[in-house]
Amino acid sequence: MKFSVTTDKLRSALTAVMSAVPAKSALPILGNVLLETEGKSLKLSTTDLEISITTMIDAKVTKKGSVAIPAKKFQEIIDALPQTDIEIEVISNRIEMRFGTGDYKIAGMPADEFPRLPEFNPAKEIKIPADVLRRMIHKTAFSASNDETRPALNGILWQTSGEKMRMVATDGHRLAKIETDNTKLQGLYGDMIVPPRALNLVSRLAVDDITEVGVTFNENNLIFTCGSNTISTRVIEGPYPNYEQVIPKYNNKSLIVAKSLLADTVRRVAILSNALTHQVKFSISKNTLQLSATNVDFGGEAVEKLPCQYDGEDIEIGYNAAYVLDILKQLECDEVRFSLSTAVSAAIITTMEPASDYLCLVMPLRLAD
Amino acid sequence: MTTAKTQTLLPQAELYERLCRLFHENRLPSSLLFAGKKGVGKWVVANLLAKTITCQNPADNFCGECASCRQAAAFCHPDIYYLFPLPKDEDKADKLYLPYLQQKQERPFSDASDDVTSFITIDNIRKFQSNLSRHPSLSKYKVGIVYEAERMLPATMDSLLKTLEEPPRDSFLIVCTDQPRFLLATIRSRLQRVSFPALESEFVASYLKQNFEIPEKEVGIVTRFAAGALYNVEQLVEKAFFEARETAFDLLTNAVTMPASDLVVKCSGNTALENREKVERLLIHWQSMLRDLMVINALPLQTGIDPSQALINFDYADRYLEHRDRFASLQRVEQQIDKLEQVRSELRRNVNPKMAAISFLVQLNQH
Repeated sequence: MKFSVTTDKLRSALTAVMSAVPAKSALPILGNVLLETEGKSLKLSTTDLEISITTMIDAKVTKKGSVAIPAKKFQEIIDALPQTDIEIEVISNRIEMRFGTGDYKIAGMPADEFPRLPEFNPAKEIKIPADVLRRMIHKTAFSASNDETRPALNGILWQTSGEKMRMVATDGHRLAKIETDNTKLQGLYGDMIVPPRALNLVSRLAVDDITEVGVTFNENNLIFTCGSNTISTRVIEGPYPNYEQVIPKYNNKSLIVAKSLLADTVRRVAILSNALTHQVKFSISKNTLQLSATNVDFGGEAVEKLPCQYDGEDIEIGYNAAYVLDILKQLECDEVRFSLSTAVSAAIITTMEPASDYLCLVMPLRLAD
Repeated sequence: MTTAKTQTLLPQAELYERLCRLFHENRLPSSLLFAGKKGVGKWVVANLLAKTITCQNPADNFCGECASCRQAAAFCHPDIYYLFPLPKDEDKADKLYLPYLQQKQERPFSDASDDVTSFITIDNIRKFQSNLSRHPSLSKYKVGIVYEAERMLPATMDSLLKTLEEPPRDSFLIVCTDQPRFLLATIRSRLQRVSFPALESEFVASYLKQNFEIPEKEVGIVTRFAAGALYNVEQLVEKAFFEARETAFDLLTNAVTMPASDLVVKCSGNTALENREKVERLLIHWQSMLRDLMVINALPLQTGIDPSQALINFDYADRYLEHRDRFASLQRVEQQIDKLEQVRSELRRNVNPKMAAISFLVQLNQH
């Protein structure tokens, strides 16, 4: 295998594929990047067996071949080089990098030891707007669970079968749901539970001039193409809990409050909240919202009042401050609406738009008597 | 049958073929318990079955050539997961993961690690369960292999129970252990037990001939020592093992012929008792010899029956008979065998190996 390529192209390709190289792995081969020549291009691939990334760059290929090269060392070397042409030659899995007067050698591993990546079939690909996908991912990924004992909740539910394309994530304490018109995927595929790490990666790579992301739905995996990058991910096995059941339909109390004022106040009051529960008490009375927190460890107490629009009966509800702040960060508006029912039922937090496509739900914490 | 393509000598071939047949007929239970003593081929069959289940050319048991088979052979198959005892320290565990599998590949009948402080922890099983919850990536099914399952911590067993109660779709779980009684009854009851019998003597002999360069006579002796299990067979074919056998017999004869004081003096200067490894080797021989003596003592005199057929150390038959009267004075040989077990466990607790061995011989002498 022999090719030459510019260091800046190689550098940006390596940056893109490094996300799938596991920081630590029991399988040494996964710490490698697979280099393969394809016509006049060089293909770089990495995988952690759940997610894999492949990217193509132009190269001057003089001899075909493939090799697996230690990813971190290779990146360190390329990062340290100035912008120049580099010639790479592989002889019996020994990689020689030559540029100017420099000559670096590094031992690689046989390419056939590298796990086989899912095959991408362009004919099955469907393009969807990158900004739509990015927005849906950003608005939901934060709610997915990290609890490995409930694998289905570790993913984002992506529903593409109906008139609306929907993404939902929940960890059992909060839920985020976003939907949009589904013109391209309707009726083609069922529900899929996708690891948020893969979707975040797609969102990160689908930037700059990329306006569309290609999606290929396979039986066991999903493949996204963002420009020259291809990301494939395994999907999580369901079933996903029936989330519709937990979204209350008859919350009759409405609290409207300025978003940034609420966020700042929650953040301040939470400093003196319980370190474990981060509980902040919302005491809501006519047009006044009082936030309070206590921490017995410090003997601390914090109380702040802020104006709001509220016309229902007085109510006291406890929330995890971190969950409320996460949600407020996602809402793009000046004022937010909390739809409430009782002190022990879920609150729905939305923007003020009557037909908002985005909904967040947060479960209350039980207040001490 | 394709096994010949990948491994010329397959332990439990009949059992493996039966499991393959069940798989091809869609009748293979999704949760299996491979139970059998150490060294009878549980690991080999579990791995071959995993290859068969994930092979991309399902017409055969497994082809050994498709991407799936190749990745399974390199232990980087995205749909085959392993769970076995590893150190709690994550870095150490990562470093030992692949060497453990490679060691098992190389010496499938022996322990891959002598680290008795390693267990299957809750963190290990969570990762394993998380992998099983993914859709298969390369194959149609996923396979999880739990090896040395008796070394699961209680919390790990509880967690495994959850997986058994709600098995992930398109998955097979193979739990291997030589101590099934150490598993929770609720786990055992949810697994379909596959009992691994002792290996046939012909298989053991063929395995020894194929893998080690040892004389024909020693093949016979080791085959009898192995007693249908090839666990740590590498130790049994070492030259030192056979040298120790001679020493063991001499010391045993001395123990029943010499006064105790002379026996102690003789043992004190004996280099065969100088370290734990050597003493452990002697214990294996003494155990086999005491067992042989039980057989000899049970045979009536002058029956004309050749006792060598029933002896482990069959080549020592004449020597046993030569000292028959002396050895007959050993009361309750089975008690001596128990005593040997006691010495073995004392060695594990770090007692002085020489003292432990001398103490055993002296109490034989007193009988």
